[in-house]
Amino acid sequence: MKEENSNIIYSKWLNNELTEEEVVSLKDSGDLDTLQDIINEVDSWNTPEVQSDFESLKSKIASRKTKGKLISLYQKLAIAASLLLFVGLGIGLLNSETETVYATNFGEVKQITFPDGTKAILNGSSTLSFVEDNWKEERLVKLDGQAFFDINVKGQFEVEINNGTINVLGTKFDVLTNDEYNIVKCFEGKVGVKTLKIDEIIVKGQGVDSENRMFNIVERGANWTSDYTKFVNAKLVEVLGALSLKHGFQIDYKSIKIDQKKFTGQFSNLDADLALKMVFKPLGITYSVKGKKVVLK
Amino acid sequence: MKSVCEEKNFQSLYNHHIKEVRNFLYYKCGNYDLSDDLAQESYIKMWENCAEVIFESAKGFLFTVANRLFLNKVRRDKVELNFIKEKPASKNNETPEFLMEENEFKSKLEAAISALPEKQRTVFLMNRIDSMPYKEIASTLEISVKAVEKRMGLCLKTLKNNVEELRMRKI
Repeated sequence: MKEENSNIIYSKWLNNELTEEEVVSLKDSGDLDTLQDIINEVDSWNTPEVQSDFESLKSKIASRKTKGKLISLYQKLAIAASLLLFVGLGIGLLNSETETVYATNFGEVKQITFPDGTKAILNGSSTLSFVEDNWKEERLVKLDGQAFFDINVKGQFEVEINNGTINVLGTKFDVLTNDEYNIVKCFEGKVGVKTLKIDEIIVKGQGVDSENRMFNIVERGANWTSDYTKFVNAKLVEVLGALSLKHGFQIDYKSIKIDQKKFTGQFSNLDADLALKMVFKPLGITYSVKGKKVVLK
Repeated sequence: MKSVCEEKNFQSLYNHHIKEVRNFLYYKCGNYDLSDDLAQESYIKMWENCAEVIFESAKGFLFTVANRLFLNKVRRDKVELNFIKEKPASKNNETPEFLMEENEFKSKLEAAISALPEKQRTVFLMNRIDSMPYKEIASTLEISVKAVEKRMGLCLKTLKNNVEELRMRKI
């Protein structure tokens, strides 16, 4: 009997398509017992019920429909806001609603507690704002820079980032957003990320960048809240972003290819010169520093 | 003709197939949470294109979208499938029971199934767990019945050899 035929015999046996004679010969070969054991076992299995029901699907669809409008409206508002609002901790007026704005200088880390007890840690050179009066109806936070969120109460929670929104489904996550790129990492629960290029749901242990590349994360929480900012196999663009936030550097990396470069290690959050050494020395990248301007070669 | 854009039709498609679509994704990626999400995502895509989807071929559409979502989003890691045991497996009288405890058999078999090539694994589990006949699997995945038979055959052979090997080692 040809090899392939013997395989087909198995699948025909399972589908009750064999003649009596064929079954007898299969039985004689001794294969049938083992096969029957396997099938009996597998047939006693099931999968758990699907977690989400039709109602949740409906509300998802409904929220998608309005989101397109929301983004463009908020993008306009964001542009207006960036013109209007001043840097530093302060309060600005926007469409007659009071917006609470937190802003950090480079190197600074700020803890923020929202009205519902949700906590955020804001990294350096970052701005975070929300409308406190609306908090009960709409938990919406605008972010430029980097922040780690620990959501306290389940339910709708949105973070507006550059060119998109993050829809939170009850969780801990880290967001890095600026004009050039977004990186979102999820440490607990699930996070939906929507930008011009991305429409993803990421789960615990996953991250996604603005080029819609998914990656696994090793760390359990924000990697930048202690005296050192730590990385495991991180993209260089993320490391450079972190250096800027922490130490206020403007880094010019036009003359090198940073796409393929990965960094594992840490840099000092306290000593700017040391931080540069800690990143670029192991990577074999030379650089020149003039004030806060760093040029990579 | 039934329209997918009508809520009651859309809902009936949801109720009938959501678990099959989710399971299909689970057999491929081995993560229940992610599979739930991608399954819902498939329905959202169908809703967005409801005018172009014919009710009768909606199931095929859902599986095609689900497969595309899976390919786009999931890295091809090794999977580790786990199932719930609903009832004790009916015993084959000739089975020498002492050779393998039932629980151990379950986990060994889960491991063997997880290690199968993705396409064989998916077809096999759709047939056994979701009780889809070969013909239905073929039309859902848009492959021939012959292809289904071939995948089932290959898969049964591998599993049989694995189990026989395990039992040999036990003796």
